[in-house]
Amino acid sequence: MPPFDPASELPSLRKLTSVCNQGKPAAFGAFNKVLAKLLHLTIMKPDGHLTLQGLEGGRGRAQKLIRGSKGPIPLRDGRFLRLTISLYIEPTEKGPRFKTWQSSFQYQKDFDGKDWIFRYDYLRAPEGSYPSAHVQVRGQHERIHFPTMRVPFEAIIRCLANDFNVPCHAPKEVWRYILHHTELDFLAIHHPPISCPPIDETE
Amino acid sequence: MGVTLTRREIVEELERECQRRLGMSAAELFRRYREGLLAEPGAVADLLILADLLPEDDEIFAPV
Repeated sequence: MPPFDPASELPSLRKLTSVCNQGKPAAFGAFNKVLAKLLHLTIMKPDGHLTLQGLEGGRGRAQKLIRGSKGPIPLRDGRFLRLTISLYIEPTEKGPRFKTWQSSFQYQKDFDGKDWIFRYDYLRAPEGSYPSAHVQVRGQHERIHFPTMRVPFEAIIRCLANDFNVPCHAPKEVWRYILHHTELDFLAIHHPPISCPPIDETE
Repeated sequence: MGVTLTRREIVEELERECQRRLGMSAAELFRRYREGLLAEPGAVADLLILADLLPEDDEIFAPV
């Protein structure tokens, strides 16, 4: 692959982010490309791929799903990232908005995930007692769901690269620059959820 | 754009993975999740999210 140039990478990523912001069906593919690009620049092995999936002839709570095309994506440290995100477009008074319905990122030593290390979940549990957005770290407290706000995907990549020493494809100055800006772009359109499961107001 | 899955493909994956990881059916998984009885939702978060593609009235979510 040619050497990475932050000045040329960022405009294409921002163009894709702007497509996401428009809230049209093209947002699904654009978001998939953003994630794939960030992963290729950083921690994913060259043979790793993301896939955008939908249900034939129907529509569930989410319209599209992004995950590894062959299961958890292979990382450059020999471990895996189980990435699953469901997406939808919501009509609002201000126009359609592209949103995440649920997401989960699990860093694991093995393909099957029996030997996982940490995970970030954003789940809309109807009756659960744990926070909607939480982090779990394996060890003595693995059953504790430490509450968090939604964690940007860029932060997870940065954590794996910096703290778990997962090798990155692009030089550090490149991926740090790219992640910095794409995270800022994400935060500009981010709608933080409340940190607890929804309450049924009719009860 | 992307890959189109049939309901059958999604349900088959859910059933296979629920049995393999938890030794229960997918319908039982969703019942327990709905009722807050699932001990470790994060272990099957990918399956819970995969099921987001199915309509809410799909029979897999019906009471067991």
